[in-house]
Amino acid sequence: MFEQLVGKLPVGIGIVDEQFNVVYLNDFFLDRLPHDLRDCYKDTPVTDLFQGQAKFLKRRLKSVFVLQHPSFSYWEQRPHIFPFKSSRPITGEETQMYQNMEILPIKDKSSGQKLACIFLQDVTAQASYFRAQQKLSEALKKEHEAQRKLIRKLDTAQSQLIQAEKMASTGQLAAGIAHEINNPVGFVNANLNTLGQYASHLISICDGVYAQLEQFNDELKEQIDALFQSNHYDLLKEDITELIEESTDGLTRVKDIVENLKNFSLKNTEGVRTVDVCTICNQLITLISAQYSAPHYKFECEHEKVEVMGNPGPLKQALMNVMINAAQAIETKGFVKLSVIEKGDSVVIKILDSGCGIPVKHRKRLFEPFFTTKPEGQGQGLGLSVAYTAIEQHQGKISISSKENKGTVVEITIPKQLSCLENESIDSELDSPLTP
Amino acid sequence: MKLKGLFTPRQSFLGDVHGEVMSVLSQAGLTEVATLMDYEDPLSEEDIQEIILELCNILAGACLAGLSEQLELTTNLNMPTLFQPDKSNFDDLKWQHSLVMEVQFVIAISSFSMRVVFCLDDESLARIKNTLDELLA
Repeated sequence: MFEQLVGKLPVGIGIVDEQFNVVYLNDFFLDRLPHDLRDCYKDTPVTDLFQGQAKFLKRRLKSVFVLQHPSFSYWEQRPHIFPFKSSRPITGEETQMYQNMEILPIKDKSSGQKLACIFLQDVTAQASYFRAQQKLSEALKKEHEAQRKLIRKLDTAQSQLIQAEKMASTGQLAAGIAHEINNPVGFVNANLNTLGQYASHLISICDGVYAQLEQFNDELKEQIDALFQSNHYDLLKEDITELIEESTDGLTRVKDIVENLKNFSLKNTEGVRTVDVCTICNQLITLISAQYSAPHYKFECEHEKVEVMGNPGPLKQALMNVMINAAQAIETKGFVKLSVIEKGDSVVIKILDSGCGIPVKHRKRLFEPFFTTKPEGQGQGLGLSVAYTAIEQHQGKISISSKENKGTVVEITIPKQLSCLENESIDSELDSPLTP
Repeated sequence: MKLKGLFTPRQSFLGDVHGEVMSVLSQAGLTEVATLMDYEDPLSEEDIQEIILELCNILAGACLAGLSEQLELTTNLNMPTLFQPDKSNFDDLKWQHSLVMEVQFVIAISSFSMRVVFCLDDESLARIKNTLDELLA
């Protein structure tokens, strides 16, 4: 009866002798043995019957025989000691059986022979449940982390949007102010010209009087001479033209800056037309050198004019964003060099600076919208992404190479002619929302 | 309580006396012990766990067997499990007394060391006391 009971127990029971030869296997083991082994398993080493983990089995059996102390093994560390399939061959999800094993030292009561009893428990259900739980908790953790990241991102995006909105209105304001400044600058300029003429007339009158001085009587002569002396006429005559010339120069510069500001204030209803890259570059240098005076600016081009088809607004904006980055990379001393090279059907614009360079870890994210290394409030991280979009829409390419503490080169390649299909999209897509 | 570089498996035993054996194993020198135990380098996470459990089983078992033999008690060790003291709430534990029996194992050639701490429940403590009294009488 006991033999039947042990045979039918839902755990594996196997008994081996000190040479690891099988003395007994219950049905749990036998049912899972290959057919050809079922008749001849007795007196075969258990490590021959189950070779997969033979080394491990041998080690554990040896320890049990030597120490006369039980040994344990768990599915967590060693899931499949015996190469058995999961007990549900058709519907089960696990293909291999997960096993817990216990080896106990026992003694044959009649002969006193030392034996080891192997208990094998099928814990597939438990293991797969545990693993599913673990997977679930990992997935949850990941999701949680992703959500937290998203929330953080949203937070920054929100503050950056507010900042962007502020900047946009500032830009609009600048354009408006530029327009307003133009009027007074216009009449000041005209007045200054007239003033210059009037001054020269006054000087010739004075000079005329001075030349006629000998013909006056002594008293009058003395009076006039004193008048000239007391008003420092010599100094006045010398200085007045210079002052007016300087002021005219200054006004011309103000006009230039205002003009450029207007050009760059994203007014771009023009659509696609012929654009001279050289002019743009020169305008840019004037504009940017007014704000960033530290670097030395250079412009290089073999031709007077290099024309491409494009939308001037976005194109200028793209170049300006790149240029500003270059200028900002230089703190005290250095140069920013722009070169325009014609290459077959396309034009290459290189913007080179000898500034601080871009750290490797940032290089992958340069064109990512809202990516910025500037402190909050000082940059929206939109410059290069705007440039990228604009150049892309011109069917061009933009690439950046940089070396830390050496400098950065931005290379922009744009085709001279756009294919017709894209023209329309540039027209429609690049209409700036800032157009008044 | 976070035990850095240490493993703390536990193993309960039943029989004439009931209790648990806690072991404290050093991570240092574990690789050398693993080599002695026929494991192959490099050790996986599972290998390390298995080695710790087996070491706990063998050494704690040896101690308990020795103790039981001397005091003529019968004890059976259950399977060892990994225990993380830093994740347990000790306030919920019911016992108030402790009799600490500490056995230390050091392997001369390596930096590996292991301590075994025996914990007995109140009833078993009384039983051990009686047994000792009998032996000393």
